Amino acid sequence: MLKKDIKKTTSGKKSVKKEQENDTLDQHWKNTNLYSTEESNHIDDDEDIDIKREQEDDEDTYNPLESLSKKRKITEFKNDKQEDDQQDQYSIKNEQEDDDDEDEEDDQQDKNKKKKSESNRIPKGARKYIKGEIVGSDGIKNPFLKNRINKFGEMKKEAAKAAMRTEMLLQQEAGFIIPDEGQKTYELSQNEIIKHVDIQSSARVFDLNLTPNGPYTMDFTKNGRHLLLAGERGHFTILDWTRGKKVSERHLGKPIRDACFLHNETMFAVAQKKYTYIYNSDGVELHWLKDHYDPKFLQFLPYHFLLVSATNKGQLIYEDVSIGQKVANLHFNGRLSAICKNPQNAVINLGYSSGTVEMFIPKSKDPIVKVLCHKTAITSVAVNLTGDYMVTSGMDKMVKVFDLRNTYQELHAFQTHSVANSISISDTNVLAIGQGKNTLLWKNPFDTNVREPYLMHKQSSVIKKVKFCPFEDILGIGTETGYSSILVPGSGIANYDSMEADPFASKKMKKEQEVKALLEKIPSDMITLNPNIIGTIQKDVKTEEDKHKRQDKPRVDKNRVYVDPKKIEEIDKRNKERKEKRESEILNPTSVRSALSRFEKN
Amino acid sequence: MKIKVISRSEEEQTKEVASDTRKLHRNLDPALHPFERPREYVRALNSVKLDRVFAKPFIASLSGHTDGIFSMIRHPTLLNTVASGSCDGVIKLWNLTTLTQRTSIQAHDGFVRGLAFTPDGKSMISCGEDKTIKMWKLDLPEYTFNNDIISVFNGKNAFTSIDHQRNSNTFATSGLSVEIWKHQRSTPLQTMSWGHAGITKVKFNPIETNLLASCTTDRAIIFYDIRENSPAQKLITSMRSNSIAWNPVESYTMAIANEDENVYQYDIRNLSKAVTVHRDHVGSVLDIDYSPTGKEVVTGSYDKTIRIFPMDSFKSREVYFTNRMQRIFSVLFTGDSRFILSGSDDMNIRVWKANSSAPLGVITNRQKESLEYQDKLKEKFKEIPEIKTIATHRRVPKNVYKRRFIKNEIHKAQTRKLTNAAKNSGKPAKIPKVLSKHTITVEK
Repeated sequence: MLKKDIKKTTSGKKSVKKEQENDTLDQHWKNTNLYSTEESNHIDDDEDIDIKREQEDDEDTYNPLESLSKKRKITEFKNDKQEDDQQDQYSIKNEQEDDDDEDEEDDQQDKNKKKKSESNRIPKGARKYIKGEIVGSDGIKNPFLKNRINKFGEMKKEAAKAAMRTEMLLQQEAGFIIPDEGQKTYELSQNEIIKHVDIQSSARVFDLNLTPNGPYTMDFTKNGRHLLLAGERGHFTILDWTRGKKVSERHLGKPIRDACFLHNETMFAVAQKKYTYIYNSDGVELHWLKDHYDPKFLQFLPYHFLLVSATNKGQLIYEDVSIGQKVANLHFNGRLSAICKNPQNAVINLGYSSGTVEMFIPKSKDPIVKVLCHKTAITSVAVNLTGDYMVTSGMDKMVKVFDLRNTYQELHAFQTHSVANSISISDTNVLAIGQGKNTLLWKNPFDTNVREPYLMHKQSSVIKKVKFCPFEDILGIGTETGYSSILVPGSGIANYDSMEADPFASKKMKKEQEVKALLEKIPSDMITLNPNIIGTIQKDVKTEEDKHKRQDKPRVDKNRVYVDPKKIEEIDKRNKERKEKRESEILNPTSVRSALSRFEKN
Repeated sequence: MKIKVISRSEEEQTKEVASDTRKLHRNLDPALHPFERPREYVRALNSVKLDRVFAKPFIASLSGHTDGIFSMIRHPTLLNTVASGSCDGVIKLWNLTTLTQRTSIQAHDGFVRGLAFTPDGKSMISCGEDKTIKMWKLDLPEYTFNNDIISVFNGKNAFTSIDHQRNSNTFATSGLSVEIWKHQRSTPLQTMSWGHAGITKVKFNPIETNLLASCTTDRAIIFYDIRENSPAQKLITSMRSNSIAWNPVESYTMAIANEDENVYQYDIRNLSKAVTVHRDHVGSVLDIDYSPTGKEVVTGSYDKTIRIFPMDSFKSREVYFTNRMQRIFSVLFTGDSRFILSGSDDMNIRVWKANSSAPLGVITNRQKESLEYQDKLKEKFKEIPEIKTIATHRRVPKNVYKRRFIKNEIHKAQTRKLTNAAKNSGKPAKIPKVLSKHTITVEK
């Protein structure tokens, strides 16, 4: 809404038709490309504010508090305003600055203060680049320390601004669909999409028929270049799929339950009927992980070099593949039905047939978070790239969205026609739901206002797994009969970072990256819900003793009867008074009683 | 209808022509860079470990002297030239690039007590216990001397040190009194003294060039303004100071190497309290020198170790020692503040790196950037125990370790005594602060 209004005010003189077109275009920009919207909106921050002011003037009864609260509510669930969400988060952290930024024009502040705030302001688009918290120097007496802390804050802001400025160097644009008037995007079939895209992209829509080898699961490498297909009957293959090259292929003759790549395409792990094995890209067996008995699901945490096997026996085994050591062996209760990792904090989410989702870290033997998501069994779990939302699907034909940031509450839910077998969220938050033979794609799954799916795709066979290819507008679908890949415009991040994952990395780059990644391997015990807690300042520490005290609240044992000490005091007091009264009555009797009074009948 | 999907061509993304340099794509979006802080922490931990691995501070030993080295001085303009004087009256000039001796000369009978280069760097002045000051001519271009004495100044007593004023032809010597000399005059211009004690060290302030500080044998530090004929201020400390150094960047800061095993920094504007105390040595501190950047001091001690202290820290950043190194009587930072020289009783001058793990030689820009990045990370996570222990732990000789332990015990006993006394007297314990304890009186 807000953006539309902006557009209207700025392009007020243009013809209506053009404006509409602009509107739709803008919508698509906002939907598809998180990054370029940032540019268009936030670089000239002042203009934004002017427009806001105009808007505010339009409204007759304007109450700044009300608008703020309204804004919060709307933005809370909006996918396309994720940045705003993050800003909100920051705003909670450093209230001071946020006060400066948001609608401060209306507040009647001292002129000096205003001036100061203007010089300190960070443009909206730069806020996501702020590393950690900006610590205020309030209450610090030492002038040197105060100065230093202020300077650090300034430097952080400067760095964020500089990072925002680099956005204009981003060359690629994300994909999108602009439908004709009255046309719905979900009416588009793959054939029609192919007609409108270039030859290279159209060649990426294909079906592989691998019929006898049963339902296929698959995995992409971190850079999206290689594809691992593993059929339940024991067939696996690695493809350099963008070039249409087969790297290797093998039939094990034993059932495969799950497979995933390790840190790059040269190695992958396969969960077979009895144990987990590691193979290299030529299909040669490298390791036989005997401890991983009867594995069901596999996950790989690339920054920790941890291979995680969840077994049918209720074990969650973390194996450090760089040194070949078992780091943790956790036990879970319940029948496992789904697994996913949170890419931001390496927490493993397990979904059970009881409908709960539990989050595990290697350091704790109990799950750190338990969420009851569905009343029926969970079929699939997915977490988005920023780690803010979790999407679950259950046997009750529901797909639910949960907020992982602090509340773990359900944000909203939508119903599907049949049970969703597999769900996946792309890096730009496109949700794919594989149900039966259909794939549904939702553009803004975290937005409650979205009522229509983005795209629909029908398959000739039942879907086993859906997964988005990183850095490409491609969705991979593993089915009963094989594998198919479809185009989903706007599902991939257009601009990759060569230092993290480069689809076109040369041999030398890959080698160096491997060595660097190994050197920077994060110890497994550093996996926590908030990964960026290390090296931050522990607040609210008043004394030296408090430093060593546990920050979290004491756990209450529910079986123990808890009595309020005040109540006990009261009871004691009352009893004491009664006793004294009785004693004083005996010692100094107020009324005279005969010794035989107790035998008298009343 | 319009549809766009991501479609990249490899040529466009990497290099269009074979001769092109490969393109590096960056996207700084934090979502693409998860675990930023943990990764930075691991990097910091790795680099701090590598620092210890690469910590090889000892470069070379300059041998040639046949007695203990009591004075060293760096050339004002040439980075690689250093002069040293020993107890047997020999002065040697060294070339630090080749780590060889340039010239050697038998200058004095008995100790060479002080050396000074003239500000133009073309001549050198030395003083000794034979009551003479000699001015030597240095031959260009190699800066050697050929026994060319420009002039000889005769004093009444043995000299203990010498220092040259910056940008003039005035120099000061110490002995029984402080004497101010000019190049052209054979007799001192001024003679100044306060009290009867001998003066062991004299140093000109490099910024306020008329200001002069001196240490006496009766625990005092006396300040002179040579424009006046009398001394200006006197600071008496609890124990005697062996050496004195002026901060080359802050004109009002000076450091004294004290007999009580500590180094104190004073702000001369307020002498009632030391600004900082550096206390890691376990023997009396014999010599001190500021780094030309003014950020660090290097000290040589009777406990046979060299320590480097950052300006604002109690603890030393680095400790250097070798098995064969004896008591250190003179230390010196080189002009680029990258190296440290130590002259000791064992007739050797040793060359050390100021930063023990810094690479020698020319480094590429990428290497430099990476080192700077690592330094920043180490700074960021320096308080985390794992990193702090690795970064600060140093092995020291057994006697130093034991002595430090004893010192610590003594300190604990003293505080315990005070607190116990306070407990029994009912008054709150008044533990004196080290900084103010040191100064006894200031006279004007």
